[in-house]
Amino acid sequence: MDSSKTFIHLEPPDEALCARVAERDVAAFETLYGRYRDRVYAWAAHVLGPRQAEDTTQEVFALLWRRAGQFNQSRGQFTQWFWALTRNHILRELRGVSREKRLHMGDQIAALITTAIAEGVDVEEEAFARVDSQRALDTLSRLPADQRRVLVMSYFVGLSQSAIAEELSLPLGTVKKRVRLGMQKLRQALMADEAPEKSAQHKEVTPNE
Amino acid sequence: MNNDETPDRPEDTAEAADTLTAALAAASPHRPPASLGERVIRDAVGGRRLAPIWRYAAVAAIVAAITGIVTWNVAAAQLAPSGHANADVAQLEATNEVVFDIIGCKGGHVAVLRATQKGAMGYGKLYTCPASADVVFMSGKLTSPASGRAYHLWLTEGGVTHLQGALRVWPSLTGSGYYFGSIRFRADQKNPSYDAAQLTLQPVGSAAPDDTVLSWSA
Repeated sequence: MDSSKTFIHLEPPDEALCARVAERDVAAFETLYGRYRDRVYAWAAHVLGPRQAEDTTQEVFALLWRRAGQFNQSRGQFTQWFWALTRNHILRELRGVSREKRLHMGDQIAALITTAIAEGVDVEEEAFARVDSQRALDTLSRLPADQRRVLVMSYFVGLSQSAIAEELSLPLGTVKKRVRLGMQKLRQALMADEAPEKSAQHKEVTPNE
Repeated sequence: MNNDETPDRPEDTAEAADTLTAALAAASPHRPPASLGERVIRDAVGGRRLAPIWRYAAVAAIVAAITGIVTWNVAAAQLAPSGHANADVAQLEATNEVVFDIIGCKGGHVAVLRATQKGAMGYGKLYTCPASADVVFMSGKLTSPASGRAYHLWLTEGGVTHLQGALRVWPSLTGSGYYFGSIRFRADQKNPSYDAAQLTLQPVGSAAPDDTVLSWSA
């Protein structure tokens, strides 16, 4: 590396933090908690209620602490593993909830996101979360509302596509198509964002800057 | 997701997950209370932050009661004294209901892992139960894991060996210099049966077992 430049590591990647958690590093665990607590809590609060959200958030992070050693970076990113763990836990808690109620929850979440996209949000969060939030809303704003709705219903409350089709009185093929197109657009948008995101991981500066 | 759902590739789901959860958090009025962080970290980490001594005493009393009604072998008798006195109890406290159910399970099976090195004091016990898919593994008299290394539990089923997970370990408060470790997990089915088990001390993220310190085979 050019000696006139200093290489600054802005953020420890999630994967490195998870590896440290597997070694029982409490500081790394606290950092991951800080990064993802709002998302886990918000999800739990909207589908399980604010009272249970605290317990569920606690349980999800207890799982992270216990299972960090099972995360294998060669199989994918930390977020892929962590959100699968979180989703499994929350959907398990939702097992006894009727399909109608889940549909209602899914609709409320979709409406909330649509409103946030239309009106913008003023989130008083740390810079890391704020950038993430804005980018997520921008990405989802590129999807038509009906595609966003089925993605939300499928993901957050675990409704199957046939259940969504039944509840919304739509042909199953229509629901499948909306999910597929929604995912395609989401993927394209994320790929477009990928380059700037990667370059933001590290910043190279000269001492005089 | 269910079978009739797309996205159908795990990486697709991951992409959607990160974006959807970030968007919901941005849009949601719900924020976790500041006090939750302390609770989450204290309870997850367990033994790292000491609870009042009476809590250990209460749990230790339950441990003692359990040991009175179940059949413990010599190795279990070794485990009990360290469990009374140190932060291992905090871990038992967090998962005590399952742990107690499994180690006291009627008709349960205990596989005792022995040290592979001559003179080593470590041992481990893998508890399974006919009526449950929960499995408990506890290990005592372990040496301190060096930085970057962790105790990994590998299980063999049907000739296939897989990593079950890394142990949580705590130094003994008795001043013995040894460590105690445990892991609890759910198997795919009730009454799981294993061909072999081994505890290794190897770098975090290892893809295959190496440096086995304890082992057992059926």
